[in-house]
This record gives sequence, C-alpha cells and structure tokens, in this order.
Amino acid sequence: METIYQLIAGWFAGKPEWLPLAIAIAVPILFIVGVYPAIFAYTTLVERKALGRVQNRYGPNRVGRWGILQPLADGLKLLTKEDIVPRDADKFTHFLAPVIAVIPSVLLFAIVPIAPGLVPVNLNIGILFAFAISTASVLALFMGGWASRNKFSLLGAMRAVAQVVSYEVPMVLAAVAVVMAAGSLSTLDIVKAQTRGGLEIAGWFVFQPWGFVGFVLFAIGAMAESARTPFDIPEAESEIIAGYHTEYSGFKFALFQLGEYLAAIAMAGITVTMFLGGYLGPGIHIPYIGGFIAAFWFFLKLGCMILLNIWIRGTWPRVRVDQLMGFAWKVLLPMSILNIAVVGLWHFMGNKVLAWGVTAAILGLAFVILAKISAAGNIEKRTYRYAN
Amino acid sequence: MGFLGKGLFQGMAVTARNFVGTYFDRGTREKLVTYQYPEEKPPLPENSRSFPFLVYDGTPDAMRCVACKICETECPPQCIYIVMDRDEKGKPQQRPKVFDIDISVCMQCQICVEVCPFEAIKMDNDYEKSQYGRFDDLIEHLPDLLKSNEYYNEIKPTEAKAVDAKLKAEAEKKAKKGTSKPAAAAPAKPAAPAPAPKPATAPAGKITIPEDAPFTAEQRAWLAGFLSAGGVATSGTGVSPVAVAETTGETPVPLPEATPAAEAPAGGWPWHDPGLGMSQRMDLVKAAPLADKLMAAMAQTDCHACGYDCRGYADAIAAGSETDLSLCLPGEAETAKKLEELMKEAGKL
Repeated sequence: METIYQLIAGWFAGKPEWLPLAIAIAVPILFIVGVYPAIFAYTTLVERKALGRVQNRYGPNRVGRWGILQPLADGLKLLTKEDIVPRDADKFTHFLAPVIAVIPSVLLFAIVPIAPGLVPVNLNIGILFAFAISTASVLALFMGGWASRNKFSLLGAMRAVAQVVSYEVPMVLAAVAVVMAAGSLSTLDIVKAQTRGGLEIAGWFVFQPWGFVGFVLFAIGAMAESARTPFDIPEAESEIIAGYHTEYSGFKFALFQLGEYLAAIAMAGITVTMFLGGYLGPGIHIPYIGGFIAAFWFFLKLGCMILLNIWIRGTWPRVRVDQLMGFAWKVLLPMSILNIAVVGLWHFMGNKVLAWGVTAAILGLAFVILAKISAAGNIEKRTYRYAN
Repeated sequence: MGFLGKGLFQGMAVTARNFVGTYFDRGTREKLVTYQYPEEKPPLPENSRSFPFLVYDGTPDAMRCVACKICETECPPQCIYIVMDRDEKGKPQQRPKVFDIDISVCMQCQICVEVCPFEAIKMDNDYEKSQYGRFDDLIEHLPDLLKSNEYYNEIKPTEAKAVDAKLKAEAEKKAKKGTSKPAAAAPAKPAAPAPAPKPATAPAGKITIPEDAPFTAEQRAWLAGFLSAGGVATSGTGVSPVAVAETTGETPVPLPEATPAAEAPAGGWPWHDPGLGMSQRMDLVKAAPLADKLMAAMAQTDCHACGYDCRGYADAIAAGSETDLSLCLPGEAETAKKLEELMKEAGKL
C-alpha cells in the first residue's frame, strides 16, 4: 500500500490530496478480492483433476476445453440451488456463519507479500495479526454447527473447535522460531531475513534444521487449521455427513467452501513467506522486471504448496479423533518447544556449519525418541471380553 | 529401514506414480482406465448380444425370414409379433408383412435365434436402444430390424462364417436336387392341388362360443374341436372361419375360393399346434386319414418353406403330386423321417 502511494503520489500533484490515497487503498483490495478468489476457483478445478489422476481417471473435462469452465458451472449451479434453512435453526446465526467464514480468510491475505515492498498492508505485527485472524474462522464453524440445530453439525463444530485450538499451539510455536530468527513480526522483514547469495535460495529458513522442522510443523498445523485431509474430521462425511455445513445449501455452502479454500491458500502463502523465502528467487534483482519475477516466484511457490496439499489429500487417510489430539499434544507440541530452544542455540553459535550439525543432531534425536515413545504407545495387546 | 512416518511417504510415492502414469498411459488403460463413453466405446466381445435383428442377403427385399412364426411361438415373453404378407389374391407370400419386436419385453434370451430354421433372426450387439417414449418407441418394426448379412459378418465374424457355410451347403444340395425336380422350394409353386375339406357351413347343433368370450385363438380352436367331438347337441350357428381369423388378430383377409387350404374346419385340427410334441400330435391322428397323419407329422407353423401351408403340403403328398418329403424345414429331420415312415405304412413308397 505504501509503495503504491509513493509511486503514484507524484502523478496527482494539484489534485485533491485524498485521491492518490484512495487509489493506493483500492488497488490492494481489488487485488485480494479479484485474484485470490480466482485462484480459489481454479484450485478446485486443479484439485478435482489431480485427485482424478491419482485415482486413475480423468477429472472434470466436459465444461469447456480441459474443463476450464468447470468452476463457472459449479458457481452457477450453487447460485441456482434452493436455499434451505432448517425450521428450528437459529436463523440469524445460520445466515451469519458463512459470511463470517469468509472474512478472516480474506483478511489473512493482507499481510502476504508478493514482491519486494509489495504487501497489501505492511503491519509490524504481521504474523501476530495472521494468527489472531485465522483463529477467528473457528467462530464461523461453530456458529454454523450450533445454528443448524442438528447433532451432526454440532459434532462437527465441536470437533472443529477442538482441532483448531489444539493445532494452533504447535503452529504458533513453530512461527515463534521464525520470528526469533528474523527478529521481526513483519512479513516483509521475515522475507528480507532470508536473503542470502546471488540466487536468493540459500537463505530460505527451510534449509536450516530448525527451519525444516518448523516448516513441517507449520504445514501440518496449517492443514489442520483449514480442516483439510488428513485432518478433515470436522466434516468427515462417513461419520457425521458434512459436519458443520450439513444444513447449508446453495450459495451459503459455496461461501463455506470459499472460506475454507481461501484460508488454505492464505496459510500456504504464509508458509511460503516464513519458510520458503516468500518472493525470493533467482533474478529478482534485475532492474524494472525484477518485481514481476519476484511475484512469479511467489505464486509458483504458492502453487507448489497448494499442489502438495492436494497430493496429500489424495493419499493419506483421515486420522482418528484420538490420534489427532494425541499427535498434536504428544508429538507436535514437544517438537515445537524444542525447536524454539534450538533456534536460540543457532543464534548464539558463531560457527554456522557446526551449528547446522549440532541442531540437526538434536532435532533428529528428538524425532527418534518421540517416534519410539509414540510407537510404544500404539502397540497394545488386544484383549477380547468374550472370545477367549 | 523403518522410521516414523515411512508409510506416509510410501503412500505419496504410490499416488505420485499413478498421477504421472495417467499422462503416459497411451491407450493401454493400465493407469487411466476410463472409457469416455459417448466418444469411446469398449470393444464388445464377439458373443455379446443385445436384441434380435433380421438378416437379409444383398437387399432388404431378400430377407431370409419366411414368416413361419416359430420364433413368435417359442419366444418366452411373447415379444415377437408376425403377420405373413399376402398378395392381393390372399396367397401367402414367403415373407413377413409385419414383424415387430417389443424390446421393452424382450429378455435377450436368444431362443428365437436357436429355433429359427432359416438363419433369419440373429442377435445384434447394438445396445444403444434408449428412446424417449415408453411404449411405441420401444417397438422395433420390420425396417428397423432388417440388417444386412455383411453387418452380421462384421459384428460376429466366426458365427456368421459358419452360418454362411451352412447356407451355401444347403443351397448346393438343393441345386443338385433341382436337376431332377426343378424348383423344389420355389415360392411360385401352385398352391395345393388337392382341395382341402371346406368348412362351408358349420355343422348344426353346436355350442356357440360367444365372440366376446375371453379366449385366445388357440383356446377357441381347441374348445371348438372339443365341443364338436363331444357332440353336445345345441342349437345355434357355428364359429365361422372368418370370425376365428379375426380373433387371432391377423389381417382378416377375406379368403377367396382360390385359396382352398389354410383354414381349419370348425372342428379344427387339434394337432395343428406347434406347441405339441411329435408323439402327442401323432396320438391325435391315430384314426385319421393319411393326409391328416402327414400333416400332423409336420411342424405346424404354416411357414410355407415347402411352398404350401401344412395342410396343402400334406394333401399334395397324399395325392401324389408332391414327392419330395424333405421340404418341411421347421420340422427338420424328424418330420422327414416320420413322413417317409407314414408313406411306407400306407404302401405308397
């Protein structure tokens, strides 16, 4: 926003003072409202096609060439569907929930930088803002589940709350490691902290032991937060139909989907920003076109994260509720706390090569121990009450 | 080497292999198994079948079907309806005028194919028969049913080749016989030299079967025979042959005197029923004249493959004007053997 204002302020000399400001505000908003929902629309298409290929079939390929108009057809279909509200539903809350589901997801994009200096809002508490906002989305899920007056909706909503609250903890702690290393909560500063070498690849946090662990922890947390497979028990259709959006149809359902996917995309964007170097990549220092190249790298990385999400969704089975909780509290939480200590160690060790080896050894050992503990817990001799 | 989460990565490798594999499938359908139906169709096995069709040689006029109605009789769900074609004099032509198959009733059992002595009806493998109407649209008429022998060869090469070889052998046999006796099965043969017993007037003193009584043609004929044999004396008029013809649903051709055969007397020929077995039919004619016995030995389908109807052929043999005893195609070898036996018994051979 500031960059745009500085860029265009000179063109409007003699015009009212508020005009360049209004434009500088409007452009990022239009960008967020226009580009990211388009990415969402085509994510659904890519997801359906990729899942189809994983399952040895074609995905949607009937609407337009390669099914390119499929998202449009889906949208039209949902728009023309009957909007059904259960008779006993809390009508106002029922109406409000899908709206609230979208708002935090859209707000998340405000702190995702797409090129040097180009971030909708350069908040100095960017990461904190992101967590504060993303947690609010659980409110929408619970409102939807509660207002539907349906036991499956309520069960799904309860599961969603429990899951999001649990996974928020290791996710935030993983982000704390990054904040410590970068020394700032601002997303632009975090990206700048990853600058190293001419190609701008070597400095990415993911290439350091603590960064890699943090990346895995954060990616798992982000998946759980956006309720995507394998953490989709809030909407596990084989158990509780569609969870909190069982009683939603038509465009309200579409809004829930939009919110969910936008949250997943935004989380992927934040993951890219914090661990994969954001917009950093070869060629971003070239004059004039460097900015575009940076944006290209950002969206390429974003696409890779989304594809990874889809790939995982096509592969892994849904985790059980008790496994879900156990994994969050017994594996992810100790690892993330240890990770914070390791970042401190990294910071104070002068020799970075030695630090790399030491931190890697510590984290690897911790992983082995946690694996042994959790594996020991899993092997339980089955006893049968009546069969013996 | 095992570590926590190894299975997760193995799973990812499997899905990645399948994902990439779909782009290099190249029609082997190992990784990308879908047939995109309206554009792509899986090849059908040669023995697959859907509904019956009628085979013609060369042009649709040269259909093999002679309207013998064996298939109509044998069809378990009764989905075939045949009316024989007749010329303006009422003389039966050896082809169907109407040949309908109700494919909503047809159960694709292939029995019509197996009973057809003329290789005229075969199973198609065209399964795209859906229609917008539930009733008339699902009835296939003669023009829809007729398909060329080439088409038959195309969809079922092995079977069709065997059929062609069989028909060729039969034609050669016939041609050889034809040197001694020209045009054995020619349809132009003058029909029935011997006059059939003519039911000019119904015998008096018979129970009338009301015309609106809920009987089928066969039941009606059988009842009439039963009543007349029992000799129950009542007053009233008999069932006229025309009335019988009308109740059967066939085109009620007003039978002129030129076609002497074809219609049973009011008493009926109780053996004139293709549903009966040979021994049952022979039991019914124990005390009957030779011509009746001969007729009972035939297949009773009035198929005109011999150039007569069953009555006419029997009369012709009995009268000596027809010497070939192997003309009854639906009766096959059984009939030919029986006819020879009967002729020997009668001392005419």
